Amino acid sequence: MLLKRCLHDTARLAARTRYTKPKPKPAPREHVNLPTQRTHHRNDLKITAPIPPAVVNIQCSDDHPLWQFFAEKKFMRAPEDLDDKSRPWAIAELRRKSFEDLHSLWYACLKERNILARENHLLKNAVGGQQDYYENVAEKIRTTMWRIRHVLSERDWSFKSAQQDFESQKATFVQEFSADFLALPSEEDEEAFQMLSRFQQAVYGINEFIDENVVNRNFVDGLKHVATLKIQRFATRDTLVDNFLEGTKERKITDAGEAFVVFTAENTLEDVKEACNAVNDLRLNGNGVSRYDELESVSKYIEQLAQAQLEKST
Amino acid sequence: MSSRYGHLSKAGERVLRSLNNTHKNLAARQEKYAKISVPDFIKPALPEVKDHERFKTCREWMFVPGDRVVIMKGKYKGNICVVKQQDVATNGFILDDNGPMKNTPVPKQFWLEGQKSHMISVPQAVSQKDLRLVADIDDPLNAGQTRTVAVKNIEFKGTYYDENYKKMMPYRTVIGQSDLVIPWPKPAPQEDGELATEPSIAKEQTFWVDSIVKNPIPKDAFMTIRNPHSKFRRGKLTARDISKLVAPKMPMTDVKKAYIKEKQQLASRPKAKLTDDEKELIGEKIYQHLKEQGL
Amino acid sequence: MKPTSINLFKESPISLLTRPWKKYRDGTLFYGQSKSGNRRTALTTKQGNKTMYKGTRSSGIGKHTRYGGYTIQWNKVRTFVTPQDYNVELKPLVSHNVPELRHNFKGFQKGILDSRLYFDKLREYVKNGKAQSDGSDVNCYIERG
Repeated sequence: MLLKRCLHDTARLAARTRYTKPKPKPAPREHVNLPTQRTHHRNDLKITAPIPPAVVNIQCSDDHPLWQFFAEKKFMRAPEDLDDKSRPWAIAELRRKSFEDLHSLWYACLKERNILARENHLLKNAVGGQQDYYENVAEKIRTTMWRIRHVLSERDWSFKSAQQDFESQKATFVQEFSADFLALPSEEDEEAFQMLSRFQQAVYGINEFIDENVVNRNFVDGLKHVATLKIQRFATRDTLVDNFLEGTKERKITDAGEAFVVFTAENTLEDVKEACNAVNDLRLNGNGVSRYDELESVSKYIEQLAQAQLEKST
Repeated sequence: MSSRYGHLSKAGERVLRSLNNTHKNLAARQEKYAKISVPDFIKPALPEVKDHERFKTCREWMFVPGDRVVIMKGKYKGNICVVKQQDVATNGFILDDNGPMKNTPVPKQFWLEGQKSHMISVPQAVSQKDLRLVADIDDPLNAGQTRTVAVKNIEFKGTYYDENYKKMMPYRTVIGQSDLVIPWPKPAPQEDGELATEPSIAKEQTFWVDSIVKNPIPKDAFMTIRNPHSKFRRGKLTARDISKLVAPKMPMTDVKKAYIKEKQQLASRPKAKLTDDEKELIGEKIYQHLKEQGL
Repeated sequence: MKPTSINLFKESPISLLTRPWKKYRDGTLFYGQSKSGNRRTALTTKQGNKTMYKGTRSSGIGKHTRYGGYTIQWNKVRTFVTPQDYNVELKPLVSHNVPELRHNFKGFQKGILDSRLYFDKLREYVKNGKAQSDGSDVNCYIERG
């Protein structure tokens, strides 16, 4: 029994020596958060007398963004001050507004509804009222908001269905415009070319801002058609242009390179004549654009044009 | 401190609403106690009407503020008054000082400005059926002069754009005399509200259909214009769903196939025609038979 | 049950009988009337067992790092795209003194969605540019859509 107790003791002692060896120092940690004011602070903090909450102690600038949650910087508007006479926007009125305007209107509504929701919450909780003054106005604004979404959705559907049906209507649409455009007298040149610029944007997506253009088959076709229209308009006034037009196949420009040269020319007789000469030179040198790499060539031209314009502006 | 969030969330709203649905046997009793508990100066003269019975259009209201009416019943019978207000809660009309009034005490916290006594006279709403419209019409006897008459009943015919109300309004005519139109009174002008857009800016056109190739709406906006996960957008059957719902056609058994084939074969057989010889033979046979019968 | 499930279209007698699509735990049908109160209200944050977390549909915009930080994944952050040129003059409502404009689609069968109407509008735009239509008059109350 005694022996057993002795052994028991020695075993424990042996164990203690084995496990109380000093541990090796841990390796330095790589990602250590630097001490911040919340975790570590020096001992120079002092206890002061409490500052009583008072309006004087609260400073707020007049253009603080949170003022947007308050109407007229008031805690709450009186129900009489609310606008309960005005009506929501009608769908027909919203249909006439651009996307930017509708977007602005949406945010105007959202801000006003935030104000009203705040006031309504105060009325229901802090004041303990049961009335729906604020909610009634907010409901009207909500009507405006769903109508905005409705109008935008409707605008998209009408665009999509029209785009689908345009395939069959395109030829007549283009023909009608060409006739109108060529029928305008020469005194109304400016007006006619404004019409042309709207037409090219409407049907072919040729934008006046060069970097907004997307070159595709429709774009290149448009380029050719617009160039042809331009030449045709001046052909009646000058023999050189007329002769040039006679020289083309079916009195139309079919080469994308040629179309581009004419397209970029200014809308005056001199410039168009110059463009015709340039095209003639191109033909003499045999610099035509093959029908198969029209898209690539045109997009290259557009890029060059954009770069040239950028250099010009800087 | 108790805070209610009923205005923020609709959770449990239906349950709370159902608490108001009292049993029909208890309704009368509840109404009685509700009436008792309302102080006299707020107590409506007419019974309140339910939401779906409330008047909404001017055809239902028949009279609008500014109309002259004559009272047909009660203590004030024969008084000509001007309609001051439509009482939405009771489908009644609040009239001017010539109309029915009630003297009631009002607690001090509800006193109006300039009030000196506890007693105040409150106008009482009058029901539509106790009122008749008063109109000035051309006198048929004295040309060029007008007579004031009470119209027994009015009806509405057609619509026109009313410049004063800025909307389409029906013609209000005397019943049976559709050419006798009683014009709607001109409403008192009110200034534009604070949240109202300026009229010229509201009506300005800033959108034109200008392209058939470029969508007028930026692509990124569609996630917020139409919710693709909307619960109203569900329930579209795809081709896969339809194939799952429609039972497949049972394949034909061999016997059935053989039967159809046989039918077709039989149908496609050329129809034999009786030749003259055969007809002769048949005729001969019949003749022999009849002869044997001794006919 | 998922709402897009094709079972919504099945009109078998059993599916019609189980139309409330709700059952008690013992499998008996729930028809919306019971002695023990309404059981079809929304689950609140205070219900459920200790692991139930309803959430507030906020946060969840990034990941916690191993070192106690938080990295925000910007594609998960709610973004509000404000207009480029905010038109301050537009207000949420319109004056009651302005008649409500209505659109008239006489001759166009599909109303605003009619392609012919779209082409007509496009033709007008090409011809006249950005010209104000009749509806720009403050007193106009009806115009072609």
